[in-house]
Amino acid sequence: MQKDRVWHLVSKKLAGEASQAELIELEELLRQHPEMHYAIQHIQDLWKLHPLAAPEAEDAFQKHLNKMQAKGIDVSVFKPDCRQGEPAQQTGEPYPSQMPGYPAKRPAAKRFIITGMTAVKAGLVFAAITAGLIFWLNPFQNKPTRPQTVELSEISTRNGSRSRINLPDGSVVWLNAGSKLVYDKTFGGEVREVTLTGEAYFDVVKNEQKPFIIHANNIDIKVLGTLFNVKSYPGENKTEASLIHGSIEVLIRNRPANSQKVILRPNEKIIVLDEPPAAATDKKNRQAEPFVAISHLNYETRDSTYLETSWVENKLLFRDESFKDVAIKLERWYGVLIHFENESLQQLRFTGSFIRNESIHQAMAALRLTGGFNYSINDNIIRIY
Amino acid sequence: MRLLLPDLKEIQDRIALHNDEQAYKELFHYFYPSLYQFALSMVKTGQLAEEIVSDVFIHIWQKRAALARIQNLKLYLFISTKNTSLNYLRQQKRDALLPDDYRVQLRSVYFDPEQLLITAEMINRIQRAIHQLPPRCQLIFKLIKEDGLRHKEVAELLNLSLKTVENQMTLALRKIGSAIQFDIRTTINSGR
Repeated sequence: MQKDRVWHLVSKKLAGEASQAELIELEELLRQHPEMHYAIQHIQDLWKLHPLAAPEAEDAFQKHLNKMQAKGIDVSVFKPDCRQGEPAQQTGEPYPSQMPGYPAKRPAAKRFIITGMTAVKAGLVFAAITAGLIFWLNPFQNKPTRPQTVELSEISTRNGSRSRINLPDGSVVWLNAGSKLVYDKTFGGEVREVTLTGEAYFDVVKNEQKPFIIHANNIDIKVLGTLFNVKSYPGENKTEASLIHGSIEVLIRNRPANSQKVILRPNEKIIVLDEPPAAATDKKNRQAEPFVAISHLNYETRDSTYLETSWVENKLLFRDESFKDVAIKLERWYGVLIHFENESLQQLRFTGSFIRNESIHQAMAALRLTGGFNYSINDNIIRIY
Repeated sequence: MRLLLPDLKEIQDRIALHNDEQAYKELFHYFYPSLYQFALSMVKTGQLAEEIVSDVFIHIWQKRAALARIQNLKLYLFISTKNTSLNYLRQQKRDALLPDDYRVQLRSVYFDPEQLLITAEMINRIQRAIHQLPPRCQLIFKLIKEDGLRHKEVAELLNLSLKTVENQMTLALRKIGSAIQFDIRTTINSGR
């Protein structure tokens, strides 16, 4: 089939192994198949993406030297062992995780996972954590004492704006609207520690010597290097962490000294409620633990993106959500204020997506087409009636 | 840090003829990620993969006098990694034939918002397509795309015919191509 011939020639061309005759043939075939240009252009761009340098090569080299020494090989010619864990190379470029963005095949699940669960529906489907999950009690060791004089770096975003932050270690944080990231000048010393209010997408440089720790409401997340999203808005009663790839350890802080640790695998997310649903609270037991659920991320095939991180790609997605919840998202996304004059309208449900350069006017108009409500926009205030 | 072929020859000579430890370190740094991932795809444990690459490089250092004679050092390193991996697998009484269920990870398919070469959405589609390829196909794709091996080097490394390697690459590109295929869609979807 001709198209296969095209791919074959493209593959040789990309590898630098195509002969002159083959290159000419490829050109001619592409003239006959213009519909392939788009894809081939992107694949060529893909080929331009060079592998990122691996910071752990230096660690591995040190270990390698040790091994040679242990074998009795003379390693004195090599530089003296500098154990001070060399910092990741500062090239100023982001270091996305080295693993592909899609989870590798997972081994047979050792844990009980609620599959197919979509965004949290209030008060319904939380299951208490059972013995099936991987839990162990291990007090969180790494709480450094705060130094006397603390210089804080604080980055915050208003509703309607988002920000990208380059941390001193090369990690990158995309901060969503209405959020705040705080870290002090000891960042990158022994640990890399930040506090998050709101929502952010993290791309953490791998450094096993210096764990990256995020405090978000009642959970602490410990990261070695990976891509994930954390959502912890003060107005909502839950905190969510969604893992794209890599591996993160989520520590849930209880009132008792014991804490629970959960390790997330790619394509999983954890939702921690501030308080358990009313029905489950034992009134005598004031120290009921926060309710936790683990589920899979929601991949939206139509938009080729995860619901949880679509905002990073400039998309606002909502999936069967109440108008009330959608309104909150719109407020953050566009920096507007939405007021429901008719409260029953808050129960309308919507599924949809908006891309960044659509205005609030377009968004409201689209919603109205299906929603059966009226609205008015004045400055940044929207009335729904 | 793209080591070109002439550079590699120079590094080889420096190690072989002058015991140049800096060159040895550079060699290690340059090949470690690829060899580690290659070993990992076969043995599936990080610890073990690290050991294997270390063994390969110990051997290089111990036999450095003969290093200058190796024609294709890059391929040599990969083959050496393969053989060492198979030895370990054999010791562990695991299947000593080349496995078919490689665990492949790519370091060069990522969304880089700085460069804007490819959108995040596109990267997602591509990664998904790659992930759905048969493992051996993924490995071949990685060795050629990311590790820069030639088709016939991959064939020699994996004991395959050149035709097979070429077919696998064609398959990979075709699958990625259809994942990327532009489709017209409305930008505003609501309540379906």
